[in-house]
Amino acid sequence: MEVRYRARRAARKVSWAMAGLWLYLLPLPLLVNAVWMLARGSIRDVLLSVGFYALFGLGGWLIRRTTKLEAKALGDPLGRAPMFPYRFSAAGLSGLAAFGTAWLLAYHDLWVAILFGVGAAAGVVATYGRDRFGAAVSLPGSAEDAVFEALDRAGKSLSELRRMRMEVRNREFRDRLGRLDEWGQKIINQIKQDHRDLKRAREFLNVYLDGAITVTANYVKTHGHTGDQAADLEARYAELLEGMEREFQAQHNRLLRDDVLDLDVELELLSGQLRQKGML
Amino acid sequence: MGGSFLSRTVGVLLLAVTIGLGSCQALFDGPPGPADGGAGQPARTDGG
Repeated sequence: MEVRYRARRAARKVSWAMAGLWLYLLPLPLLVNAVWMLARGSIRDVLLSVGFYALFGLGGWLIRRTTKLEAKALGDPLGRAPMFPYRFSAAGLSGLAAFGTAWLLAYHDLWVAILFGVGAAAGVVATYGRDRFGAAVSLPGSAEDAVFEALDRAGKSLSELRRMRMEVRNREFRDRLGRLDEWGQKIINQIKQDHRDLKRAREFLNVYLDGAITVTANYVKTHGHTGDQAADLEARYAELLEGMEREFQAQHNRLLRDDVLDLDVELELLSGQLRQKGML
Repeated sequence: MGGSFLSRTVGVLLLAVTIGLGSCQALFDGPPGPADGGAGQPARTDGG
């Protein structure tokens, strides 16, 4: 399942990177033509070639823009496709540019040039699809993707925590951070086994892991520069780490027990605690 | 992006023919210059 997610994500990345590329690449001969016509002194053809290439390029930019906006909407549960008709505008511009190129630069007769224009516009729609005007954006298997996105994020946070642990000299803190890492990993494994657990653990992972990273970063940054306050800082940090370790363990047990009722209260409690201790 | 594989393939072919071929024709079949003995613009295919 994870492999399918990775493959889908890679395919989407390639597809986003490629969006609109044909509209930049295929009309490149127009730029060569512009240089050639400049050498021959035909300003009219230079301007037309550059102008039509710019129209194709603008179409390509519109396709990339809407693809980017839709990709952004995918990451948002309430995400919607853009209201502006980016794709139809790109099709219109490309059709106009293809018509102009065939009529004014390749010297086809009017009807053939119109066919070129209509064909290019249809080609853009067939290749890049139609606009969805504010429709909800979803992908097949997006629920499954959401699980792995969250796991990815949590995994990265744990790696960050492990990296920071190396900068902490105090042995006790290092041990505690090591145990936080272990509990976090256990929670992630629990979610991997049963995806329904994500709903209950996502916020926990975000708030607690981010909290642990923030307070550790603050500790590493201020440790050694605080002089008289060093002991006070260490005491507060020790207290927070101890509390977090307890909470990580409790969350893991809650997942095993399917008990979520007190999670929200715990999260609010932690946020308040961090603020109160000046660690956020 | 786009619809089915078939629709995308047809779309890319259409783009290749209309934009790619059109631009290449503009490059290779452009107006003959004075050196070619032309008046600067060739007669259209329909004679117009």
